[in-house]
Amino acid sequence: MEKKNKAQSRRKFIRNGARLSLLLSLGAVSAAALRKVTTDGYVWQIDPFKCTQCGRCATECVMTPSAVKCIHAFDLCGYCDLCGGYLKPDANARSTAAENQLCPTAAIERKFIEEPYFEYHINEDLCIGCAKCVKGCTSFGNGSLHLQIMHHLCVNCNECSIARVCPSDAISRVQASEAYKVKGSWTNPT
Amino acid sequence: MNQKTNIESSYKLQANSHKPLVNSNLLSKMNTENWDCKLAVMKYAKFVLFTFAFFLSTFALSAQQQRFPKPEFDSGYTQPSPVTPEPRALALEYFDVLVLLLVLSAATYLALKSRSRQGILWLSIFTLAYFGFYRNGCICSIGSIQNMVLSFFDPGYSVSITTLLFFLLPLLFALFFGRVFCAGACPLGAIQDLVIMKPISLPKWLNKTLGLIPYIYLALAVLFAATGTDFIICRYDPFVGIFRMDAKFHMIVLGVAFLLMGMFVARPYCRFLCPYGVLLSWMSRFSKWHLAITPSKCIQCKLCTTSCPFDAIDFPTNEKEVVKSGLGPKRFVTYALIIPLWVALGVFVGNRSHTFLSKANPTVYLAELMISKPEIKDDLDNIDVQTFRASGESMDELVLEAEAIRDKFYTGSMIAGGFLGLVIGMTLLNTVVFRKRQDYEPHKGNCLSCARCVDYCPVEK
Amino acid sequence: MKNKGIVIFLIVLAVVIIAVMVGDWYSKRPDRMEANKFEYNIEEFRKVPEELILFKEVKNFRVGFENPAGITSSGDTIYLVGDQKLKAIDIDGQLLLEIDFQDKPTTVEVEGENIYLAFGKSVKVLNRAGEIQDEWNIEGENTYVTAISGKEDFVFVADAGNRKILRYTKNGNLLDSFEGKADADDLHGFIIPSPYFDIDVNEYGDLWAVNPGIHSLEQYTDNGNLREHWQASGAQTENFSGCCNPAHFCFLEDGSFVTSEKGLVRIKIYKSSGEFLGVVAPPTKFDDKIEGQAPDVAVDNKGNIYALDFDRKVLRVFEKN
Ligand code: SF4
Ligand code: SF4
Ligand code: SF4
Ligand code: SF4
Ligand code: SF4
Repeated sequence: MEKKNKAQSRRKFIRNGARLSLLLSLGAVSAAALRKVTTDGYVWQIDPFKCTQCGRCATECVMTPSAVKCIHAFDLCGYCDLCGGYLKPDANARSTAAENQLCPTAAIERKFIEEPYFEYHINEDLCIGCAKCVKGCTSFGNGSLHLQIMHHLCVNCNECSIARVCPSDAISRVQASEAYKVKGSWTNPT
Repeated sequence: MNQKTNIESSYKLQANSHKPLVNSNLLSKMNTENWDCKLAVMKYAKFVLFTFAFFLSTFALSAQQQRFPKPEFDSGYTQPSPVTPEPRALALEYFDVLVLLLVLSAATYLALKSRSRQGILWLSIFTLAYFGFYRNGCICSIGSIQNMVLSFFDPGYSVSITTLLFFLLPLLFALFFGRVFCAGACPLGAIQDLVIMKPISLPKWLNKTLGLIPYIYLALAVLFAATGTDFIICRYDPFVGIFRMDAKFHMIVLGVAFLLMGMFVARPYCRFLCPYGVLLSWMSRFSKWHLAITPSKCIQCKLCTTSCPFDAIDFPTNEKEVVKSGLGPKRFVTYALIIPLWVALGVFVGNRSHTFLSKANPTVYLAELMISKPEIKDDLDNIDVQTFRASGESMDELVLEAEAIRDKFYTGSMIAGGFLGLVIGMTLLNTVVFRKRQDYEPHKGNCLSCARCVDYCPVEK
Repeated sequence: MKNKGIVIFLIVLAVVIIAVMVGDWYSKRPDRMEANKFEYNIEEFRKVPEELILFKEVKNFRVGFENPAGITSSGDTIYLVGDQKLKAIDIDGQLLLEIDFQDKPTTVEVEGENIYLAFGKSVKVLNRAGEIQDEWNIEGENTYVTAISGKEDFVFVADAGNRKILRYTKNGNLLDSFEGKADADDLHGFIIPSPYFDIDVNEYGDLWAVNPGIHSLEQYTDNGNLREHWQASGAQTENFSGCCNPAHFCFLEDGSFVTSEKGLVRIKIYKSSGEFLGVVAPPTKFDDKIEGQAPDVAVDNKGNIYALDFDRKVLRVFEKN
């Protein structure tokens, strides 16, 4: 009986020691992490200056349609009649007929403002983030159309599945307080 | 003179750089002495590059933004601003931690104190609804392993406090109360728990062998996270697609396959894949308080023997059989002595496979691809290759970058291999260790504290 | 065995799980991913039939500028600006003159005995030896001079920021300015969405200006009345693509236009009536970049066309076939 007790208390001692060392190692790991921990959260962000409009934002997001949408920096826009992001390259009749529109989902809405200016507006519900218009605008226009991850749609995957395949490494983790990188905040800061 | 020739010539250069990359196995071996200094140089070069890139990018930015005055409108048109909806509020992230803490406490109470299977069941339904379907499964404790690892290896990344707590809290609870996290706070566990229909008991050898997979998965996940390659735990999370009710077809197939399997093999992901389960079981083995099947004293009625769907109940030791099987101290000594051999074997296998593993890294893969198939540069449909060519980065730079990553894989895979060797050795050793047990007890490492067995015990308090 | 059916089912599931994981692992690789389904395709417009190409590249010079800015010619001398410098070279590339400035010149023009340089909001007048004669400041917050052109009595300055052409006397008195608004015409003045706004005066003293927002070339009287214009819109070879094209132009001796476009970079020639004549340099001659910049163009007295390639930072010379 005594022997048994001894064995038991020895086992208990070993267990306590092991628990203490596990506790200490957990403590060490968290201390190491704590040294540069941030109180902010992380979100994913597209750097529009790095993006090469490869089209994967439309196909690789875990959400359908993609949480990546085109947004329009009105500041940079020339309000052109001949919008390189709105019209197909060979659309010479400046008509807004569907076959002349570049966007595969007709997500860009065009509104006449005054001679000779037009405002272009992205209908977020239709946009699939394919970057076709971005390419058109960047090559032929002022580059005011660009892609951003829209954070009310993005589920903030621990690893963004677009970032994994983005050929130009344009997507990275950023602090949630600076979630967007919007082009051209010139006259309208923020 | 012009860029075409530039590109052409860098392709020629690339033919020379061919060798080092393929033979980097050899090369890195020779280089181990000046490993440190090389690293330092790399770091410095990286730093210079980064600062340079930073200045370049800020320059490009200002150039872009100040490009040209926009039209002046006479009609009183006011220019709208782009709409940028805010991400989920930070306060809600902290609230999630609070919910986790509450759920863990509740699970502890229900498993250890009130011993109520019913309660645990309802708790896991709540977890499934909240952390699963409402929070879409991200971020979870399982995946947080990778964030922790990345923060140790990537100077530019640091974990957020919420992630750290998600990683830490369940482990702490496991250290004191067993795997109560698995019982009630893990959405992945919860969804699998609900589909258990007719669990079959797996043979012991199979259970043990499959039980090694989580260690491999853990080692790979850490290796890939440390090298900044991939977050495989998140990538192959089978249920996250179900929680979001939106995923690529093959991920849905994966989730459904796991659930179907889970009807007959209870919680297959938990037992044979979950890398966080490895950590939890380490903690739980030494837990101070742990769920017990019987509230007071086991009367050996054997009613609970078939109650655990996870084969997590240890039976009393049958001393006669032990003696008969001849597994004695001799075996123990041999198995203990061959552990270093297992470790050495693991290191060797890791060393052999580091080239293969490093191909998981996109940079290494691209470099290898462009070296082994130079003609691919003319393939206009290959987005990655074309983007690389347009980026202005030279082939040499790419190869250099790839080699640096491969170097990391070289050490990393050997460590991972050694770890796996140790695990295999210890597992074998464990099969010949006999702890004296008189009662039916949950195996503290494997028991998920689900409290099913509790209902089978006729003993009253 | 008891649960044979179940065991087989489980094995099948295990195979499915492994297959999905391994399949996914191997699928997302550069050489196994599909091409861009949403390609913005201008490939078909990059191809130009051989018979339309009337010029060939005969040589090119490195200009030695980090950021080249503009080019013009006078007889057999080529004037180049870039960085903070003005350089003059002869047709063999010999450096004749090099002058440093405090600011970055944006464009250069030579007329008679004078060299005119624009610096965003000001114009400097130099003599042929490179000595500064005069400096004119142009008022206005948005002023951004993109082109200068002169004839015997006047100097025209194109201000892209204010979408205006300013007329000066030779000694720098501002006479008037115009926005290209013409009555009884559907043209609506200069539409300049980005800083590309070129003007030039041809052999006969006619002032031509690009209206880049509507792909047109417009001829104005000295005091700003529209005389004639022609338009060509579209990505096809004979038209101007995208927006703000042609970004640059100049004249051949017979009054034909040499035009240069950005985006889909190409140099072409048109009759003064606007009839398409042919191609000097097709898009395939230029780097396939996202933001292909339009080379600035000039013509020497032998009819060779000089294109200042901003992407490659070289001066490329094209000679008639
Ligand atoms: S994947 Fe990257 S390069 Fe491609 S469209 Fe998205 S951000 Fe741009
Ligand atoms: S072209 Fe593509 S990115 Fe642009 S608005 Fe349409 S769907 Fe969105
Ligand atoms: S984090 Fe996830 S949801 Fe958000 S853009 Fe990336 S893949 Fe889509
Ligand atoms: S083993 Fe892993 S997946 Fe299963 S309940 Fe525990 S933490 Fe969750
Ligand atoms: S509490 Fe543990 S031993 Fe009991 S049934 Fe659940 S997993 Fe099995």
